[in-house]
Amino acid sequence: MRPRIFSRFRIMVAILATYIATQGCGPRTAPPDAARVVKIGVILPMTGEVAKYGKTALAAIEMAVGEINAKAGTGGVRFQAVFEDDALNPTVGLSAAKKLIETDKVAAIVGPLGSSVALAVAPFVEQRRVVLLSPGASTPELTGAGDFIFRNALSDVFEGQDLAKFTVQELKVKTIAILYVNNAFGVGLEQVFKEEFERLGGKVIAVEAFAQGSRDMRTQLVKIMRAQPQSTYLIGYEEMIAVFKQAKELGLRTRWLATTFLNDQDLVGKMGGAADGCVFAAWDYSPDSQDPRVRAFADKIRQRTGGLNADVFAANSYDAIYLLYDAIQRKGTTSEAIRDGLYSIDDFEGVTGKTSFDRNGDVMKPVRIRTIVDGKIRPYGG
Amino acid sequence: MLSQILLDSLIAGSIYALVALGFGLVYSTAGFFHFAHGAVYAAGAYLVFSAWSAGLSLYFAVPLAIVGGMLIGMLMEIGIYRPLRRKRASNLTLLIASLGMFIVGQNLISLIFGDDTKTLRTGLVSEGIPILGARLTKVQLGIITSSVLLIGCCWFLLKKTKIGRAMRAVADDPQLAAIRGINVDRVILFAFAVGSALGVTAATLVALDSDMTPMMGFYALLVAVVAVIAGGIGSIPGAALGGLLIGAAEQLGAWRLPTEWQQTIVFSILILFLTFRPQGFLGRSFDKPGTW
Repeated sequence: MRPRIFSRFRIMVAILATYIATQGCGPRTAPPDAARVVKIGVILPMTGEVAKYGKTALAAIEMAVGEINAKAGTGGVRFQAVFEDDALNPTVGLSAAKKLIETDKVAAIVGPLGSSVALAVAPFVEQRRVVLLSPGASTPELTGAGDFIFRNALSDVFEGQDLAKFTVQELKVKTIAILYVNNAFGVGLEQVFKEEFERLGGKVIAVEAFAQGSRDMRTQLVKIMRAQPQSTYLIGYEEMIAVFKQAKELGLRTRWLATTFLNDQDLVGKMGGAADGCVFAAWDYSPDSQDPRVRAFADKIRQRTGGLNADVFAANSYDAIYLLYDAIQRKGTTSEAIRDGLYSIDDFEGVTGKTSFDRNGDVMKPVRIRTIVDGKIRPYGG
Repeated sequence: MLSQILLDSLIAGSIYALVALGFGLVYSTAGFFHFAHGAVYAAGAYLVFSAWSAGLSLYFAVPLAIVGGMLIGMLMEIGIYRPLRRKRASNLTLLIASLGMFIVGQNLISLIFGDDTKTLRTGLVSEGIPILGARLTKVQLGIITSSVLLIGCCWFLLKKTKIGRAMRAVADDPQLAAIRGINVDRVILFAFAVGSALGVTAATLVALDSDMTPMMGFYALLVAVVAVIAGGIGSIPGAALGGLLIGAAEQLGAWRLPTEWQQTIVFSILILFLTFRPQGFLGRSFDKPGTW
């Protein structure tokens, strides 16, 4: 009896010890040993529906941190980034934020990309007086989330309103259906678009939702078919592949509208032509831009990620690190100083163009209308 | 529009019937919830994807994947479940081991292939064939016919072949079957092989129709569990029937209720059955011999 329990106990202790020992491990950039080291937490969706953007954003951040650390002389500011996965899940994101703030004691957090996760994380981060800079969360609700909450992603208020205006005034659409992903991002954008569309005299004749990650939207599409809208506004992530495909197969004829998430040639390539003719609002950034700075950035990201395009989330993440760096140069390395620094930025130029924060920590960026022709993304009317 | 909804019910029901059948076969013979069936399911689809991306035509890739899936299922039985059974592990232990394998399996697929959607498409998407006021694609027709064919084959296997009789005997009473000279372990292994093959077939059909992600096994698994309970614990036709029922409830329910409630409907069915008729439609009430 004795020897058996002993060996099982030993095994448990060994496992426990290994677990504790590996707590220090995890993806992070090499810790520099200069005195002015600023710890930056990073929360990205490394798994889940938008894992691809988490991957490119991670590469962009690692790149930016590497560049900054390489240029820092003795006594210069160096970054040490600590990465956490939120799996596009608010609960997981919140645990990640807690760990970064309480255990790693980061001065600022870059991320998350998802609106739903950002909304879950913001109150906690605000309460702890740590800066949060999201390169992707677009829900209008984040605008008033706090003094320490920033984003260099465009609020959906702009995307939703611009697209609604365009749809009514340029496309002359009078009746529309909205099919949206049932989370903070989808709900927020649906509300903004609907409000503006109806304010301009249009009618929203059908509204359907689907769960994040669904792959069968046939019932929703059949209901939309029944309403026969001139146009249908689709708000979602990779679920768009299934929507376009199933809509085409069902014979649903409508003028499709979509969000900036469709501004991804890799994604459009999976649609099998089913998204042709769709018009969408895109945040003004394209990895195919002729701007040399963007091209250099896009090339490096393609190298680092094994061929993935440098999407807008990677670009925003890259700029986010440099924005933090700029803020630190202006005001200092504490969280409060970083916050003040960010508010004071007025002439920052990055791969996503000019950036400056308004008093809510939001940015103003142009929205471009694009469309898909023969499986390729093109500017609308161009 | 109702005809489309009914057709969608048939399509969904056919898939769920296949998954439930595979799951139910293992559950009846081996006697525990083989959650890792969901991992075999997803692995099957990704095996097709790997073979197809490597250049094989689907006509070769699919049978290859089915064989691969059978091997994975059988390996799970030989490597994990059988040793646990030898040690007199309880059904709960087997279930937890199964759940563990499911999580590992799903995450392995995620690690190797990434979380983004993979498609088996070669050409452009086209409109479905118009039929009775609804649209049906060729893949969807394939789903319905495959399902009917495979359920028929299963029925034949269980009712008319020697190994099928052995499976029913083991499902009814493993100890008695052993006494009568049936190699219980071999029968269980066979059930894993057939069950996994069915699972991989279902996953391939789903992947051809609605693409694949590493998480695809999760919902399919839950539906299989509900279908087996609703159709009747220990009943193979019941599992298939349960699958059809859930497919119909899911699509018809979403017709009348907001679509966010689709999954809630499925689990409400589970709760209803567990509360009022725990033996399901065709399951044995717990004092009568099994119905097949």
